[in-house]
Amino acid sequence: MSQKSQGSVLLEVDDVSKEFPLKYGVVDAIAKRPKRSVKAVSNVSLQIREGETLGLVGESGCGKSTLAKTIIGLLRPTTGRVVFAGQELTALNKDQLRESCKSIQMIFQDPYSSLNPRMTVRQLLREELLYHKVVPEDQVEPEIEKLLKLVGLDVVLADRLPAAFSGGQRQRIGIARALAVRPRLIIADEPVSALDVSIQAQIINLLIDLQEQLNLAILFISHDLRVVRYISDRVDVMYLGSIVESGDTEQIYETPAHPYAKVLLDAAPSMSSDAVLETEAAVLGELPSPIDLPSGCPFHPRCPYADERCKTEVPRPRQVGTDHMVACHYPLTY
Amino acid sequence: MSQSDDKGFKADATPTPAGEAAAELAATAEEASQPEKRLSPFRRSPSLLVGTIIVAFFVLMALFPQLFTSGDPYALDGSQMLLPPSADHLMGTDNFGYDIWTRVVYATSLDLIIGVASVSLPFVVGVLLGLLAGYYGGKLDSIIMRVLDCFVAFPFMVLAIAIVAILGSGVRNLIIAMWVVSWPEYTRLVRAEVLVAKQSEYVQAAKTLGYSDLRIMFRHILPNVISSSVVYAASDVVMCIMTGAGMSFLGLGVPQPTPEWGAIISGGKSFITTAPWISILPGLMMAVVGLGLSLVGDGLNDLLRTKD
Repeated sequence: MSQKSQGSVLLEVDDVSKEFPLKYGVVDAIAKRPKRSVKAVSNVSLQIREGETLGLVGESGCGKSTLAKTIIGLLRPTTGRVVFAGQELTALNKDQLRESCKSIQMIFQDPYSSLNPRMTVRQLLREELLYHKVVPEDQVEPEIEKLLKLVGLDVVLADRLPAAFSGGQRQRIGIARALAVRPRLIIADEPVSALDVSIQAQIINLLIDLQEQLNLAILFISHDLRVVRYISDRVDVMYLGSIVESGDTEQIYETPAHPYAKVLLDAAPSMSSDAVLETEAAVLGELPSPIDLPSGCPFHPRCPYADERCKTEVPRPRQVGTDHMVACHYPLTY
Repeated sequence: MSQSDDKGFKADATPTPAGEAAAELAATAEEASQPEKRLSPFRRSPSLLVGTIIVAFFVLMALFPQLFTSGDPYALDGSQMLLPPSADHLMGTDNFGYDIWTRVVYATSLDLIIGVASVSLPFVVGVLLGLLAGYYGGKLDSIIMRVLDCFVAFPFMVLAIAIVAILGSGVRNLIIAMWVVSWPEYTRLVRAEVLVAKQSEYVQAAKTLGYSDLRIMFRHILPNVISSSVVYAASDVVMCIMTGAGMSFLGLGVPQPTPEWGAIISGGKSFITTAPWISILPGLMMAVVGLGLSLVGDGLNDLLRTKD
């Protein structure tokens, strides 16, 4: 799969941070409390090449969805740049962003709330095709048929409301909606976590097929490590708003270098019979609050290998193999 | 009359004399089994059917009062004072010798106009403000909501009375007073629902598709948040008729001797022990209109509510 990684860089996220200021009331001002904020994403950099799938994994609340929304323009980053196909999205104003955002589309997590309950599939796709003038008006109906066929839905279903569909079918509609404007990058934010396992495989395979047919790049966000391994060419592991390890999927799964990545992978249930949870694999404590980030390495309060240096010094990302980066002072396997 | 209509409906819509809830259940089950077959709105919601029949009856009465009575609402007959209901005088006569049924019939158009006119403008304005406040949030939201707070700080009736007292009595000023007091409820209803809808993934999806704010507000959010306001509006028509009648009762609404339900009821208050029909029978008519409009609201709720 790694031969796909040879394409040119399509999306570049450069040192992006996103903070949400907390409510600062009159009482806080009188008490002269410092202004506080939730640091959802801090200094994240990543790259996606044309036609490749990048998996983004991490536990709930680590900033994966915030990062996705920042890339797609639903949120503005506090600092940093998002560059897509040579164009700096973060420098565009609202109207310019509206025009360019067609090239990046999103597949949402919850198929039950991601479709307008009062629009039939046909109305939904029709509005989109006409609004962006994807095809001439007389070509809209054939285009709708083509899109539905592409995602494996029967055209006779086009005049039904979302309530008439199952979760898997709705997710297919969501994919058709994302594809209608002919994007080059799809951000799939936990696209299968709300679906039954049997349906998950169908949707994942559909995404892989579509990627090959249409040369799509995919940013695949999930907490399900098996699914990520199956679909991704490269993987980024996120912890508390930072990317702690990134690289080729197999390398990371076989030889994780960051203690957090190792814990995450060991904690995933395995099909093999000798899978016994090692005692050292258990993570200590709870995820720290993103309001008061730990000093130094964000993982040090829970890391079994942490020492004084980890408490004070933020680890810089460093190369530990071909296409394998880790942000840790003491990488495990090297 | 409305009773016989009611029977006619029952024979037509449900084969067994089942209750309303059972009929509703049957309708949903039928829909689930054949989703593509669209049932007529009246079949899907029996309350809408009954409500519409009642309201249609009163609209007919408002448009063609002469079909319901041969009398003249302004005809005084000194020899026919304070007579109880009879074949000649369906609702009896009052202390001036007016035929109450005739006056009630002729009052219908005025009362329906008060009800509908009082609701329509606040509905539109209130919904728009709620949509703007909820969608944009921030300063605009704060401004709209603080202004709204000023209006809801006064009790509904007290504010309406104050406005009529300033502007003077009369139908026009009565309706203006209703406009001023009734928009905040729509704004609050819509705003609350917009705040929820704004976070939903279908609105996020519309944003990632680059749709304009206006398109997102009116095409994607509004249809999903309007139902509670429509339902409220149906019952608000009754509320406004009641308030209008209340104002007439206090002598602030429609001037005498114009026939108006509240004024008629008010006129009977001195004779409530000796001639109770003067107040009670017009009051019952109002109650039936209220029932009809409530049923329409209920039926609209059944239809507009999405299934999931």
